[in-house]
Amino acid sequence: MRWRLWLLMAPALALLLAIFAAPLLHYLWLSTQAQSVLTGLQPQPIGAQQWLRLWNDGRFWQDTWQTLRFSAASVSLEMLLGLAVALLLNQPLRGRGVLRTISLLPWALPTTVMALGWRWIFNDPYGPISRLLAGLELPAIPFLSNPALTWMATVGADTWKTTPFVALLLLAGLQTIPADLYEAAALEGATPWQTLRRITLPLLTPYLLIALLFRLAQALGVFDLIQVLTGGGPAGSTESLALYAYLNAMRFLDFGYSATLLLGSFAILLILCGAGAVIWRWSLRWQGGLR
Amino acid sequence: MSGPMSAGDGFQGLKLRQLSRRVGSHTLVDQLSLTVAPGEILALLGPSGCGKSSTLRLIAGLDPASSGEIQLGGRNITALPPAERQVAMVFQSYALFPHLSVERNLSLGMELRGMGRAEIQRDLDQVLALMQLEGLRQRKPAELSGGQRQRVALARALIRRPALFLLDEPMSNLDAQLRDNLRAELRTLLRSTGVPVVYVTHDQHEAMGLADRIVVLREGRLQQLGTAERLYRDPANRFVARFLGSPTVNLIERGTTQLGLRPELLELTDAGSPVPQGWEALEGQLSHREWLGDRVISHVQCAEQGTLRVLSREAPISSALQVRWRQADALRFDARSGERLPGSNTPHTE
Amino acid sequence: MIPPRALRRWALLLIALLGSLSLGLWGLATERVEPVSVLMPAPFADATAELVNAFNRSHPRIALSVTRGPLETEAVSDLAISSLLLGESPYDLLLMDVSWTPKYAAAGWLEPLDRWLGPDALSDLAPGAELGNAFSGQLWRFPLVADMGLLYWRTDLMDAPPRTPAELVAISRRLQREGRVPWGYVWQGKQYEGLSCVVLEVLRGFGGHWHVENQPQLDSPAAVAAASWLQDLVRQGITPEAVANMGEPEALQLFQAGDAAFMRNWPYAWAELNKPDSPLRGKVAFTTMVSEEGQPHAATQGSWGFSLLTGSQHKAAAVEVLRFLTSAEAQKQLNLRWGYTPTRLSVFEDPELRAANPVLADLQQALAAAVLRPLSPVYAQLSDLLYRDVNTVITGDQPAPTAMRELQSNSERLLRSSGGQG
Repeated sequence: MRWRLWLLMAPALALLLAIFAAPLLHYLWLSTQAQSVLTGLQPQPIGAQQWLRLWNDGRFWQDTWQTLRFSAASVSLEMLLGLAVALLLNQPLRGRGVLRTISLLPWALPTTVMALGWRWIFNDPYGPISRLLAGLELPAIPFLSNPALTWMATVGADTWKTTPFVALLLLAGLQTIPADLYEAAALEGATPWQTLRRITLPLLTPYLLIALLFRLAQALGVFDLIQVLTGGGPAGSTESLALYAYLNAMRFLDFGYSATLLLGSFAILLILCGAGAVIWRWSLRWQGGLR
Repeated sequence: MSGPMSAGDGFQGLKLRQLSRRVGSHTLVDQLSLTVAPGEILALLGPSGCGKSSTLRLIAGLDPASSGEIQLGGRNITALPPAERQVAMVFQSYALFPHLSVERNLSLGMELRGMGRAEIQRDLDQVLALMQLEGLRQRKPAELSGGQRQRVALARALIRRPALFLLDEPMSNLDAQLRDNLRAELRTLLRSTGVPVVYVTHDQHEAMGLADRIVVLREGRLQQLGTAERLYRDPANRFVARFLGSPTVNLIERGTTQLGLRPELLELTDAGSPVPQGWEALEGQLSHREWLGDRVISHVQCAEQGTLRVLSREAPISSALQVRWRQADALRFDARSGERLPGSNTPHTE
Repeated sequence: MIPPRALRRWALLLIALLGSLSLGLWGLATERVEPVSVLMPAPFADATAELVNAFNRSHPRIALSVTRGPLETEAVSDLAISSLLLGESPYDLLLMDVSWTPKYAAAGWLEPLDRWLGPDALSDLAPGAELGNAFSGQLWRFPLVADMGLLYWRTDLMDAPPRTPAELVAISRRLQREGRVPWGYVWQGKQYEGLSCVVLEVLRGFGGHWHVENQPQLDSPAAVAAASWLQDLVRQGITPEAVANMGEPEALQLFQAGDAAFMRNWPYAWAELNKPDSPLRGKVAFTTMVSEEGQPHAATQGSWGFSLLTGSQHKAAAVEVLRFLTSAEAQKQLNLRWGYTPTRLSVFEDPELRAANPVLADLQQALAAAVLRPLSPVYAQLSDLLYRDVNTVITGDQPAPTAMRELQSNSERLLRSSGGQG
């Protein structure tokens, strides 16, 4: 009985293996090889040296921190705003269809085009924001030339772009909640805030989790937005792990280390996911124990 | 826990006065007036789309009234939000919160109102015991049977100790046998609350078996209000006559008049039998019979008058039959308007 | 409504199409045609279109086609590398930036040109243009267009350009104080290759070097002084804070709007500034970068040239194309029609061109001041270290001495780990 089950799953497993496991294994092998412009692009075994280099690479850890900071900020903003937009679009408003379409536009825009647009908006001193501030006789804000501000600018641009995605997912979730649950809650005297907290959010949890997962995966791999908007600067303050790995592969032609970087960030992602799952379970148990 | 009573006209039950709800050009509830006394169960009966659920939602405050007034316990609640009306409602779907246990489904409202933990626990134990739900405390709604869910929904309404009980087809999701068993039980339970109860159903048996009085609605308008017996014996119009009674009342044409003949008031004899004084008769052929166990429905094909349904204890022996009835038993309706014409069987008593 | 130039282009294109079609048919009937494919950044592909047509007309046995690459330098590199990594590159020739040459050569993608072009290949090149084509004793690239860093200055605001860093600062402050310009000097301060070019010029001007004999010299007093000077420009408000995110277009935009007295940029800006609708038309001149007394006025060399790819199946034909497109006649046309700076001495000294292009002599002079970025297969990493670190100085995140010390040790470590192949 068991073996038949495995037999039936075999094609799917083979596909998964080919799509995920094979490249991972190749990268794992590559991370033990020096394959760079210095070796004439020929692989030469060097053992764990590149892993040691990764461990001692301050830039890797800085980029890890920056990627996490970017992801945490943009994903939480997107979840909050996405939820707000979804709740708004779920209301029986006039012209809701048009509103839904308009609110999706940022998502439909190619990231590169969007990033160029933001580069113009943030341009100092000729962008619209700078001109507005100049018109008010206020000093310009160095959005893209001040490390403390620029990472926030990237978060802002990313939030603008991907909030519609979150909103759409959550809107789909909201529409699965039967109206009579809200009516029952209204009869029980629930305020809008209580309804949101006690009814909507718990029932939306699966959708929130899916949106969170999708967005985290995308944000942790952020590349094109950063590449176009800031190029990783100023002072390296917006460089992401993906951008660093890209530089190593395409600019430095150091494929061995690029593979090590990719695996390193993958490992960090796995550890984070694992920690997240443990915390999630633990908090559920804690909540359960409380009641 | 009955609500604060303000000086009204002294009537402590539910009172609807010219209540209407219009959406666009549709009138869902049309100038409805009625009263329900404390401890009384009133059934809103009618086919789907007749406005019975709309009326219930107006009373609960889930939809705003276009005009008219709702009074409860002597105060005008027409403009109050649902939570302030002290109304409990059992939804057709039960509307149990799927993410909460039975216990938490019941206690949510009390938590929201900020009741103390001990108080909540006390009420909870009481109602769970009353509804025999103690063993299911920790279950989620998805882990309950249909009957159990209904009990939880009722329990959630009871635990509020409302000033008014609203039920929207609470039996429609249960199988027929369970429904029959529950009817008496539910009636006792609702009665014991001592508050007015409005019960929406499209099932006449449920309405007749449960309610003290019944309102028949059609297209948002009140057709007749009265006891089950009164509605059955003395229907105000053809619609009410047809809606109550099973099998359905027979209708035969008499020029501009229609006669309504209840199947159980018809007698069957052999064709060609003499017709007694004060009786009327039609002759026809037996087309088929339905056995109900203790009784039988005979379908008799009577030339131009169509098929008559006759309910009797014994099955007819021959197939050529005479169907006859006491003239006084026939309900007379205006063929065009369907309104009841005077000169029918039962004298008006109300 | 169509400008006559565009009309002419379309007509030429039509003629070229018909011509190459008939030639192609004829060629098919007689002998096999060798296809040669070249990848160029978009502006070069546009500028060489007529030359390519002319080549195809005069060389019936070679079918030359140009792939119009992206606009940005690094995007062209990405495209080329992606195709090269896949093994068989669809291109025979690549138009390369000077800074890519050692990397591509070390990767084994380039064919040495010595045996194809002969020992005298570089003899006609103008001083400065010969730099950056050879690496580890072999010639890998032949330059088509010269490019070097220039200091643009406003002739309506001053009589003569500054020659020392102190003069530049003094003139800027005076003009700013007088309210004639909001900013003094704009340049490329963004974290990218352009900043390395800027730093190299200032570094040489302060008497420092990026590399000496494959050893980085980035914590020398001169290097620290150079970085401090750039930081001070921002601190003193001579350069806007936004410079930390400025590339060439952003600097040009600000300068062209009349909002700065000086700009560091490449020769292409000259044509842009003198366009009919430019507010600075006729009010701009250029010179070489400022330097301390006794130090060179350096111009970072940034030429573009053709390399032959090892994977090419049509090397002889490709070399034929290379010779044609880099010929004196072709360079003269490119300068006359498109304003591109030549690399051949004979073209610089062509009387007709001298008459038509009054700044040619100035460009030649600037080219003679050309300095080269380190020739190293790991140059991309070296430059990445430099522009990241100096960018932290410009944003004020690090003091210049700390940043330069860090840069020096990072560069040393990089060179050590790459086996000293500086």
